[in-house]
Amino acid sequence: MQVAGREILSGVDLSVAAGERVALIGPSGAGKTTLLRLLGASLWADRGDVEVLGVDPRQLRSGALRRLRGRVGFLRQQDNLVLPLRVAHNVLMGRLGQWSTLRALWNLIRPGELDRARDALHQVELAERLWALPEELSGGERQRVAVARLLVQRPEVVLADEPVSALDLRLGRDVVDLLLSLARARDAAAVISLHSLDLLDRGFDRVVALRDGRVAWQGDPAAVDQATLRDVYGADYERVLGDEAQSR
Amino acid sequence: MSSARSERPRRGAWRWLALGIAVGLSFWALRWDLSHLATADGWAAAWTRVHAFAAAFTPPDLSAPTLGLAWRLAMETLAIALLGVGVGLVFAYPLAALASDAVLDDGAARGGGRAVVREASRLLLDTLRGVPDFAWALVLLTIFGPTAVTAALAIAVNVTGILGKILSELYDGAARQQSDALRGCGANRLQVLLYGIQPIAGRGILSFVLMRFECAVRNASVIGAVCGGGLGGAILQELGYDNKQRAVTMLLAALALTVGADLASNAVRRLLRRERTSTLPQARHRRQLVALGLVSALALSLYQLWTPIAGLGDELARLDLRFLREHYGQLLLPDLGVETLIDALRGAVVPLALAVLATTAACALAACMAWSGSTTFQLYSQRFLPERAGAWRRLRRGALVGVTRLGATILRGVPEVAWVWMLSLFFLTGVEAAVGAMLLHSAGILARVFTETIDNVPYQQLEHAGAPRRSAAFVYGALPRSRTEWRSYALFQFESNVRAGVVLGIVGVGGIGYLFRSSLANGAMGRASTFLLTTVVLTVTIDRISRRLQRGPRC
Repeated sequence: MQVAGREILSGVDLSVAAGERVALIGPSGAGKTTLLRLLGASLWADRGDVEVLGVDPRQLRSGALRRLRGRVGFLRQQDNLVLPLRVAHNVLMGRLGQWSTLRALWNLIRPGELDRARDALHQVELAERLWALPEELSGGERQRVAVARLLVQRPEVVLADEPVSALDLRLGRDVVDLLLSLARARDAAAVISLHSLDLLDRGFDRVVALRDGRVAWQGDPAAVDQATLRDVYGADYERVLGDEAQSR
Repeated sequence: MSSARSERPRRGAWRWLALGIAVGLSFWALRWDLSHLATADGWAAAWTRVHAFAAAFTPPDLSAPTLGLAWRLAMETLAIALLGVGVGLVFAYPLAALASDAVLDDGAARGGGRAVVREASRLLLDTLRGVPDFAWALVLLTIFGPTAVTAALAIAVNVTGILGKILSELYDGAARQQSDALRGCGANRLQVLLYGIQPIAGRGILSFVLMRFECAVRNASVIGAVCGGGLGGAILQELGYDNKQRAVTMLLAALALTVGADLASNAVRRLLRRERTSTLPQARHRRQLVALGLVSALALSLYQLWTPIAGLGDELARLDLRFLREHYGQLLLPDLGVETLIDALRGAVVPLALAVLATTAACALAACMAWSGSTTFQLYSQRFLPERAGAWRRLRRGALVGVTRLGATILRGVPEVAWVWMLSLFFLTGVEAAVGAMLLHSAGILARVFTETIDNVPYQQLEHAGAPRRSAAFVYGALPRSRTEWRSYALFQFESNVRAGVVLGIVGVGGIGYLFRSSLANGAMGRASTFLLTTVVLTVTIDRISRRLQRGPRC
């Protein structure tokens, strides 16, 4: 996989089973975001094969591609919410894949399916913020609203690109727990890239470590040790992860 | 590092040099004739003409029937503007969506047809925008007859081009991350537009639509002079019958209307700006109020123009389609003969030179007005400077702000065509009056946006400039922070002035506008087509150059 002449991913051979929860780790520039975008069908590999829920996104026409994307929930580090729209609209955006354009337009004027939005917000403990503007929420609350959108979307695959890097550790744990419980409840595959290794013990089945666009290591979270991390993070190990890794 | 330091001022110097050369060439290109003002007698004669004009036109006719007529025509003018912008907006939205990368991109691997659709839409928008509404009015006049609906349609066609282009640029400037997030939910292009792009770009769009509405009111109040209807048609008619005092009543009504539209759009801006901090019921209430206001205004416009709208059917039934096809079909076949092309190039120089001179002078005047009209520097300077102004001084400064802002409102409230008419009493010839008209009108527009930019600079940044006096804080604190926006507005105004130069040509100043009108009147449709095409090319070229010089949406 090349971007601007630079090899981003190479020789990655990875499959994630339904219901499996995978943590993706690796230094900056290792290719985590690219891999997640390939899985989310928002980026195309120039070589090799990518299958999402059994189909190759490149072969799909627009309509089928949209339906596939509707089955894959994607949470980003930030900028998940549309700030001028209220929380209710932002949560119900998860239903857009199921709505016709006319229904979407009508719901923008007079939101329907509010019970779904309320339920989802209740699960992320933000039930009372249904009509708030995202600007009135803290960073952690915004990420929880984005998780509520995933709950409404009911995806078969959950992808998250460093969803907690802008949050403190406690809030980060809450968001990761929510994502994993969502995946568990729907028996959905989950691939979550993490900046913080402290979160590897939240219930992942497998850790995949990327380095220089290749899978450097994969295995059980309990098997991640200092030698592995030193190998994955290389020169960045001491600088970026020193304290965190030594505590393991 | 050193190369970067030496490069910046040099680039700035080149820009100033280029501007100086452009101004010099523009002076040289226009035919100035100030010989009648070279002597004291000439000046005396000019003042006599102005006095005679003032005497003939005053006092305005304030009798009840004339005031009633002025009110009815003002409402008709407002209806023309509202209908023009309303219809323009209806067509601008889909065209903007088709011209926008952000809307067309659905993140799919294939998309070869996208580029074709986008470029075709942009070309159509450029054409609609590049031809001024006055020129559209001349073309539509033959099809729909001299009615207020023709004026509304001419405005609508031009507004479609201008708003379509602005909307597409605002769409492309909207944050992509949120659109990606929506696509990730399975949203189609329209849903991404409705839920992501439009809400993010909404505030900017509203601001530009309101600005366009103000322009449309100004244009509607004079476009009637070309195709009938509204105050413009009445002014021309009264002057034709030598009813000067009634004409001046209509002129004052036009001024009141444009100033009223200016103030109303400011009020709507303020009302909607508060929404961000309002609670849900308040926001809903406010939005319902605005929606109700808009629907009522459009309904009233339709009611106001119902007679000419109902007559459209008869007008269209009377059309000789064969004649139209033969006559106007030639507009699609430009005359590419050497003589016509040379005429087109020579004609294009006039609006270009007028715009260079007027915009440059207007920028200088508006910069001065930004100082005297700024609440930051006249009323709140104690918040960032160690100065204490007494009550008398504060009062004086407050009065200066009021006078400057009122002056700017009047300057932009009078359309260029009306300024030309008044200034030609003094200067006689077209070029001087045209430059003066464009200068005054542009200064009014630029003064407002320049002042807003200055007043938006946070006090903290002015405090950090460490200037001892207000003037120094303005020059070293506010100006550097407003420079980019000022340049952006000035370039926009320049492009707009080129189109205004074509309009002034149509009403008699000369250049390509005049050539177009006379070709149309003589039935030389091929030549008329070439002149229209040249206007479009001129506008598009300026737009592309402006885009290179700056980033962000303009119109």
